[in-house]
Amino acid sequence: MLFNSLGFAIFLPIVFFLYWFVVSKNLKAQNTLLLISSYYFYSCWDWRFLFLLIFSTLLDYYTGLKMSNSNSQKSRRFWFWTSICINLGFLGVFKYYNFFASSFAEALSGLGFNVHPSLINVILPVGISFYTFHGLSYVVDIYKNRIEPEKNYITYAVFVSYFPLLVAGPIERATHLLPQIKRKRSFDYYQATDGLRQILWGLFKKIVIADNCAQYANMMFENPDNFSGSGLLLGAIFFAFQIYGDFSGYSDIALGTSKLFGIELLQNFSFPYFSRDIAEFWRRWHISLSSWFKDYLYIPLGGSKGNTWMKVRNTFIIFIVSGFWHGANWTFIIWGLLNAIYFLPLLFSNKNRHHIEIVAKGHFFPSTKETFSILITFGLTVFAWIFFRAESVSDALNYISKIFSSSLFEIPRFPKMGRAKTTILLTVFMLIIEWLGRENNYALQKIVPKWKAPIRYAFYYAIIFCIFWYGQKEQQFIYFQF
Amino acid sequence: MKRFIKRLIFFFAFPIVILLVGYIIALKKVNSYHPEKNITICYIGDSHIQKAIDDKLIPNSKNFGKSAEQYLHSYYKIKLLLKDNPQIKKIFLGFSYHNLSAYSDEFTDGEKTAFVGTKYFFLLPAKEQFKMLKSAKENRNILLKNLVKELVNSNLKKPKDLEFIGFYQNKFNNSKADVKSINKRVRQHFYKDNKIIPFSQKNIYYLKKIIELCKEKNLELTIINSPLHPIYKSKIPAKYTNYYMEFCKKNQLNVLDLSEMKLAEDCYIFDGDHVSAKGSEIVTKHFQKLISSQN
Repeated sequence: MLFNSLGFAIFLPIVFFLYWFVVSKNLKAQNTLLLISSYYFYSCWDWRFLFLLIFSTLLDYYTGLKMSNSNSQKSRRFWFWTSICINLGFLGVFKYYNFFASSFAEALSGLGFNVHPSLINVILPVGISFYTFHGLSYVVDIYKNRIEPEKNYITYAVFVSYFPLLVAGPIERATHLLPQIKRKRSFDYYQATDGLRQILWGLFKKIVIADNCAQYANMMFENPDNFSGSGLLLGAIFFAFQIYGDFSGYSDIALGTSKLFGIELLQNFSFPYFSRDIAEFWRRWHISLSSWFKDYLYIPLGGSKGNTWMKVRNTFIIFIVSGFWHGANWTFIIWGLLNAIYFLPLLFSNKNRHHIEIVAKGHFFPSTKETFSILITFGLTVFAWIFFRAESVSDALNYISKIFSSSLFEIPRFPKMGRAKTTILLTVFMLIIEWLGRENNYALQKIVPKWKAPIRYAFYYAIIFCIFWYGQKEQQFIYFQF
Repeated sequence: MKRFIKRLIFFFAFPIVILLVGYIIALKKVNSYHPEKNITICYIGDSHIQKAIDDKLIPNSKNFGKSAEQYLHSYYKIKLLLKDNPQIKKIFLGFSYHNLSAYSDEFTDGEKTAFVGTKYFFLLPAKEQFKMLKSAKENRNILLKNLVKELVNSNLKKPKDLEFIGFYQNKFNNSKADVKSINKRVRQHFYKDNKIIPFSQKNIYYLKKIIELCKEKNLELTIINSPLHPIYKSKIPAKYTNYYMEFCKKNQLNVLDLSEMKLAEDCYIFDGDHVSAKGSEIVTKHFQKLISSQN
């Protein structure tokens, strides 16, 4: 069940109605309803994987209790490593086994040994990377005595399986979400309208921007030989907006949906394309994953402390693991590597925390220097996205070599030019709105409520019209595959 | 909570009321359509008859053919034409072998409904409208978008300019049949996964309903099997040609079979089952002779 599907448009009001009108007085019933709804939501993809989700939830739930009840450090360590190994084992089998097996076979064939590993033919369970990370952070936090284990299974299961975040995040922390699940929720008009507004903006970014940009990005990446360098460059830019619209749109819908149930999720995007350097970009892009890696990998490794070699090693590890988290393909690893290379000069010059506040805060326009920095950062990001989008490293290199050809300065030509111009105009519109609302959690949060009612409603209707008019076939969210 | 629900209802009620008003106007507009009073002969069917008969060459007649029209649509179109128009005496209905194929169901119950069926939405009864809304699962966004387009058009256009009405059109001035395209067309019409496609029960049902309607209204119904390129004709599965003959015989239909009419290569378009502009001129003249000899 996709967030942009008719099924979800029916599912959400039903759950909302039951939640606030039937079980509103009983917290336990509310949480049970959320859990049943979440399991139903998940089973709409493939009910068989529901067992995997339940198993993973039970494992971490019992691990938490066992670690808490253990008297000896040895026993705690045993339960901790059992959970880590099983969780990562599932992820490894479903997501990475084929990659490692075939890469190993290729490496051996390079040495003259012909090996034919048996590969597993199974689809990746949707959201496995996300709910595994939920579970891992919970287990690590208990092991490190940062939190107490949750004793109520339903409460813990809602934390792992809560449907707005189940399939593509944000990756929540027990310290942030569990207290909200345990607390009595009462309906808040402002929170609910804010949620609806965020859902609307998310749908616009997904359906109008991402799905339309996808048509051109796919066209260019699938047949790069048919297009000029300038066309391919435009294709890479289309992909940059596709993935932004897709994932930040998804996150907005998830956060907005959750607000309807009185639960606030972690902000996942904060206008990353207005970043002035790569370090700022990574503080604003997929924030919940970046901070997860920072807290559970980078800092335990020593972070930016230690000697130069340690800093370089840790930077490369975190970016490569982050790339690898996205998928079992060398393209993602190179994408991670590139970002590490972009990041290192900032780290060495101690400028990696220069831009904490949003650009041009309190001003309407950015300065020339800021504009220049934004454009350079965006250019570097687009270049790295080519590896992220390409099917293989050789495809990416071929794409790049074709961009930097003499045809780079030609006027780009491709089918459906009229529609592409409309897509560009709509993307510019999105960027203007995002720029105006960049000091908030999402673009519409504070700018639209300030407008007079007729203008505000006209704006909402215009957005709905765009979603309806420029909508394509229902398309899956890119991050579901991760 | 009350405030939230109230606002939400108000927010969605506004466009829903506009759509409802537009819907009622569109229904009224469609039902107010009348052909010109001098029209006594009507040509109904899909692109085959639309491209074959140039009604300008035959007095008191009008070609209502429309590309990809199915008998479901034709039935309700004929019903509309006959309402308060007793001057209409003859109906020539395009009926070729491909009309029997379940491939056609894609246009009434499948994904292609989003692109074709929506033009007929306001012509159909509520039950069929509801069915259409449930079709085209993958192209539902496009279906809804085209329905709104149709709603706007139906509200703004004059009844005679409504999309579903149809007219003679043949823009193929320099074309000729192409064997590769003919083969592709035959495969598309009659084969799926190398197996012969079954008959379309829906098309057969509505074809029978058209026959009954014409009997009931005392109208002369004649079937036109438009010209087909010899290669196309030779590749039609026998199952289809036999059923076609049986059907016409069983229902005692008047048939003008032009499917074996000898035409030059440039009288066809590339797919071999439509005539070109040049072919249309020849076919219309031949057709004119035939009907005048019948009279």
